[in-house]
Amino acid sequence: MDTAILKKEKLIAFLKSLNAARLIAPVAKKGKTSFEVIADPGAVTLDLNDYSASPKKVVFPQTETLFAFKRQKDNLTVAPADQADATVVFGIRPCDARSFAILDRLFDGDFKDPYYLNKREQTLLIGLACTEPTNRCFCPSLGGSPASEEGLDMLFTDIGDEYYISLLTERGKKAHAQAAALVTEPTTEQRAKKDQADKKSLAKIRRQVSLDGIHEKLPRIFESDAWMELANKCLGCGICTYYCPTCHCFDIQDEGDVTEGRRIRVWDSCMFEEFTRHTSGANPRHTRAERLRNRVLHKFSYYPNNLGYIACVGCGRCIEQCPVNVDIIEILDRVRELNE
Amino acid sequence: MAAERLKDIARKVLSRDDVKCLIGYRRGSYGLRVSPCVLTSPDDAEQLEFSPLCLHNLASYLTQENIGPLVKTTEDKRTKIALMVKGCDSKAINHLIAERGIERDSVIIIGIPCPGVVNIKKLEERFPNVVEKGTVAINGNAFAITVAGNTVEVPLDELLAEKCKRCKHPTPLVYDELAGDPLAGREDTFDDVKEAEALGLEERFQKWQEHFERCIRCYACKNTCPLCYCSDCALDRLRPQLIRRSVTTRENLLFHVIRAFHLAGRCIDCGECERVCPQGIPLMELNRKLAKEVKELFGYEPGLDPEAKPVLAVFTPEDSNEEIL
Repeated sequence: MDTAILKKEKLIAFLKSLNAARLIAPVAKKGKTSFEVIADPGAVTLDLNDYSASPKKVVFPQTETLFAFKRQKDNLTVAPADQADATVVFGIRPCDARSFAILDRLFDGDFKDPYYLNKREQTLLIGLACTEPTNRCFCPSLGGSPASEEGLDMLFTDIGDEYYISLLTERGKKAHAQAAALVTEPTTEQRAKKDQADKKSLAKIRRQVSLDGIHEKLPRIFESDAWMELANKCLGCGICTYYCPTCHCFDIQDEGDVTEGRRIRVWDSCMFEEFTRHTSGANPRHTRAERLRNRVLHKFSYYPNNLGYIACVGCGRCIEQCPVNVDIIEILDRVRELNE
Repeated sequence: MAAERLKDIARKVLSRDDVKCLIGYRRGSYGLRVSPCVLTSPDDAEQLEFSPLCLHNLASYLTQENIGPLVKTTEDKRTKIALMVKGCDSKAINHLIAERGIERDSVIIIGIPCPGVVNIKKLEERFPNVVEKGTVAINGNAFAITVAGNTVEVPLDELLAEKCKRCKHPTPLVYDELAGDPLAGREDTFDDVKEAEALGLEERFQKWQEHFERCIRCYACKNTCPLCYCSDCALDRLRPQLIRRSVTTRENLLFHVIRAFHLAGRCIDCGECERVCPQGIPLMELNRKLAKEVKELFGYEPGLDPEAKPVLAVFTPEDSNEEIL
């Protein structure tokens, strides 16, 4: 069985039946919806439009301890990083789930990042197809859709009184088997409703960008004066990168003293002047123009070259959250028009 | 009318041979957004506009590399920067001049008497998911919001930014050109601080811990602040590392409290830090409380006079001794 139907009133029972050590789902917090660990599945808030932050932090926390140490006289003890608990992320948007697939390329690439992979392997992703895309959404331009299945173990689609469940991986099927008593087989009518829901939602997306020729063009306009023009209004803050579900740069720091401390990794942003500053004080990306160019090229040129994926899912958070209207769609439109 | 006057001034300014660029506002890329822009040719003046969507304090750009007059060139005589300023923004310029951050001669100030800007968060809650480029104008006691040809009026008080409700100086205090007729100011009674002051120490600490727990240290507050322009911020340093890089409530709190104290007697109430905060932290509550303290202790408000001596940079025997440690 690759599909199933769950009555909405059975959602809480369904989530409980998954028996995860941690359930992470969107909940209302200080007027915003954010992904938090919840003890009670009844607290889930499924107002997808309001997701300001992605659940990237589940597998890539803003601050994480790589190891901790303690020295008492000649006795040095080193505590490794905590091992992840079995986790279910419920209600993730399809665009954000695609970002997990994109991050996997890097963290599960030439170098196997144990901190990321441990969390990723313990995480089951249950998506919820978007029914009300927002004015920032442009996922179809990046190959996604409001009902994209990539990166997900299960996808829920709201078809009125029920959820239509697509079981997408062996892991998803196995988890779902625990809840088998709660679901039914979809009828032809319910399948049609799912198709309609997908089409209706896709039609609601109103922003778009053409990527025609962008990949070939970007390296050729590296030296263009346009970067300066595009970056002039940028404040050089980290909002775009910290809200981005695919941005993954980090800094490593030791905190503490000789008797006790820890090595941490913490999100870093290529938009900060400090990001590429050398010990000597020299900085190859001293200006905001160079830093903005790097952000765009990393997503649309270097990442596809190195890992075969564009590192953007079209969630539009960088656009929505930017205080000065730096708009990636506008930037790409400009890039396409530039003469080489 | 005012729009044409603004464009005429901008064309004239951009034609001058000593002007490097003009920092102004143009229509944003989508929805109810306006974008800052940096123009260099008189032909570009056509793009400029001013409306209640012009939230940004453009004085922040004066200290950015490649734009600002802090980067002095010897060869190029186009050294002056022109910029559009609202009443509140003009106080930032005055204070920058007062503390020698910029020179008066290096800027050409196009003053805009400003009847108030919108609280963008409230506006977008009221008009969600707008993609078509819309406009907001003031019509009597209401904002007239136009989206896709439909105009809706909303009473000013419902959408006005908090800082505008207490704005004493809607007309810029310093300018070279004024694009509009002067406007009368409102009263500032610091009523907004009373609620916070009523809290006990424990409650205050609890409240701010909850706020700073959400901080993601994107530094948008710092970067957008026109008066946070140290070229070598002590809080960025690795050695000594005053603030750890780990993003914890404790470090976040330390960062914001140090920043607030550094802005005591300097914050000119443009509210940009709070507007740009993506996590909705009410940073202006801290700045306003300190502004009130400075006013009560020293009778000083920053940004009113470019010749004024910055209050915490000078000592007089008449100063209050209460707070000396």
